[in-house]
Amino acid sequence: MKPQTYPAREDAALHPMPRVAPAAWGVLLAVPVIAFALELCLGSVMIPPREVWAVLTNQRGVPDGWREIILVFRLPRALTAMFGGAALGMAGLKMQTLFRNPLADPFVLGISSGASLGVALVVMTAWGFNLRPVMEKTGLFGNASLVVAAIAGSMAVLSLLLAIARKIESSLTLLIVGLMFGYINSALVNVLLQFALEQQMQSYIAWTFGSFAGVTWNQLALFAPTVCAGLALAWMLAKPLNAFLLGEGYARSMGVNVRLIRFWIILGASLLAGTVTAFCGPVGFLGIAVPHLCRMVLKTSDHRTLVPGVILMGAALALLADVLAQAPGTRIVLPLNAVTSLIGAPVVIGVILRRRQALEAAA
Amino acid sequence: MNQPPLLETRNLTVGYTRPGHPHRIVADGIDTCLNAGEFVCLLGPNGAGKSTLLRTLTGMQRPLAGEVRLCGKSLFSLSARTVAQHMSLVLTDRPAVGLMPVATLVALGRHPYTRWSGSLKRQDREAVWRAMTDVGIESLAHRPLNELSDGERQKAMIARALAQEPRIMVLDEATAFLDLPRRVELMHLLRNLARTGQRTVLLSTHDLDLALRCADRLWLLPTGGPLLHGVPEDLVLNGALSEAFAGSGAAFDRGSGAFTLPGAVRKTVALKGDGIAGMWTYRALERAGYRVTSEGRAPLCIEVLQAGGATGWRVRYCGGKNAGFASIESLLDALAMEKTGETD
Repeated sequence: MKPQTYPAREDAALHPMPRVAPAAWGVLLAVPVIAFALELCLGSVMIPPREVWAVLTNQRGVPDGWREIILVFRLPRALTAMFGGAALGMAGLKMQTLFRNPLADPFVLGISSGASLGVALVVMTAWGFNLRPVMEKTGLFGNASLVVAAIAGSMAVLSLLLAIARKIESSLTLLIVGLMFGYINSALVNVLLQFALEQQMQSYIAWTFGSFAGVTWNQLALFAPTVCAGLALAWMLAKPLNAFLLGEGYARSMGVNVRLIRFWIILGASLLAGTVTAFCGPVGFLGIAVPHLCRMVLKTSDHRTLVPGVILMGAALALLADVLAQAPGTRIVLPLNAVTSLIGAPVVIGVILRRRQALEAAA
Repeated sequence: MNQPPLLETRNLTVGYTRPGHPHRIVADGIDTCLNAGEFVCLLGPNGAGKSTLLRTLTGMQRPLAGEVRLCGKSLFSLSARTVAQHMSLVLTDRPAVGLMPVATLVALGRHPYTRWSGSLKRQDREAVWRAMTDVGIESLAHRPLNELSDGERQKAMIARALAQEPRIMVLDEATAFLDLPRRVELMHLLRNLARTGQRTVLLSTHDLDLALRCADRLWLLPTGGPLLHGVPEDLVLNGALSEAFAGSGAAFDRGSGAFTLPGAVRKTVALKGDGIAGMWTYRALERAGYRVTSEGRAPLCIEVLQAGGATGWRVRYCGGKNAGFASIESLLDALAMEKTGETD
């Protein structure tokens, strides 16, 4: 071997994984922090950053109205957006890797459609049986009962899927089964809507718009730890996820217990997607776009880099979308799903046309 | 020393289970083994079950009956991780992972050795480098996979399998996509990997010609028949190879060691001349449908003339007439004219 090849050899041997530029990490860290600050400051009422800081550090001399807006509404909302965005991005990343399909998103296995069915059932029956006064009194109706219904719906789909996943060899079959669950659920929802009153329909449709608002501190106490658990599980699975990049055959030949790992991937991703859907409605687009943008920014398919990257970028994009949805300075509030798609889709198209490789890389 | 073979099958039956139907047996009664340092090629007509056999040997599917033993232990009693430390795999399909640099792909092969975080220790990085050097792709280390040619990508996949430091490497038609020079190169590479590393390389292939030249042993899987194994030349001489591929449209010719194209034989010609020009003249005549002999008793005798680096051909007809040609094309044209001129 020629001695002059030695430096190159050391380099390659020491860094088989490409290093991500520190600048990229800097941007990925800065954007969510800035977006978080914007979310607290902007809205139907503008609150100066200094006053926001005063509220957060519990100083005196801030108007009570502002204090309430920040502590009761904006702070839980910002936290919800942060956790929700990270969760959706991560669930999307796992699904895209597991199914080796760049078009996969967190809901590809029908998790959100299960939640939709649960919500539709609650909305219809509560009005249909004229239970509304009772429920309002007991606090069962409204936000909390929708959350419970959505969780029940997505968990029902999830347990069916996991039961099937244990018996099925091929992930493609599982993907098709998941898609069919989706169709069955939306068909049932359509049947329910057919017999629904106008008000019921409106409550249901409002839910499908998606929103990070309305999650209370009490609900956050359940939401945040669940999302954190899901994200931690994803971090544990980074190594086998890398093996899945080459397909299940290679993953198995590299010592991955494919069925077991697939079980955990689906459980983790569905937990994340199901929790977000339960508390925020079916928030679209973030789950499919965040992993793609992240691969492009970090220029890697290595999940040990992508997992933290997707968490940061998911949080950042969700916060930014939510700031825009509130149309700062006006009293208008746009549907969150409209904002994520209207602004996000052209961005993704633009980026992907510029760097087509990245789309191929996701497969 | 009575060491068990690296891989051994005992009365193995491979095939598929179908719920509600009887098992579909693809091949049965397979008794064979793999020893260290061998390059073995698995040959057989399409549909004979080569892939099914490889899937069973690598633990991707369970046998219908019998047993696969890896280093003396039942394959299906070992953990996936243990199996992965002994055996690695290269498949036909081209994984679409564009953004991944070659070195990262090769590093994936360290999967069965790293801890849960997947971080590479010094010995892992050295194994990655060694694998790339052995395959000769160290200069490609930082190139993304989608910029590689098919041949380079398949070498990268082989390097990944090597980084797994296996005792046995199994390749399922890993040369199928490549052009002939690349296939020859890969076959030599695989043979050297087997010899120098004291590992076993098992390759399923349709490349009969190359397999006969390169493999230390052949596994021959005829449709429905039991697996035959042996040194390639033995299998040629005892007719096993011809038999395995019999009735598939082309016949294996023991004389040339290749498949002959079926078709009516026009007439017998004698060929004088050897070396490279002689060999290619032989092939041209054979393709054109002549039976070629080396004895001079045929009605036509073709001589290959070589002088001063130039090559010419002379045809002597039975009447004593002579004609000279400067290319094989003109020679074949003249022979074709000759054929229409007289009845055979």
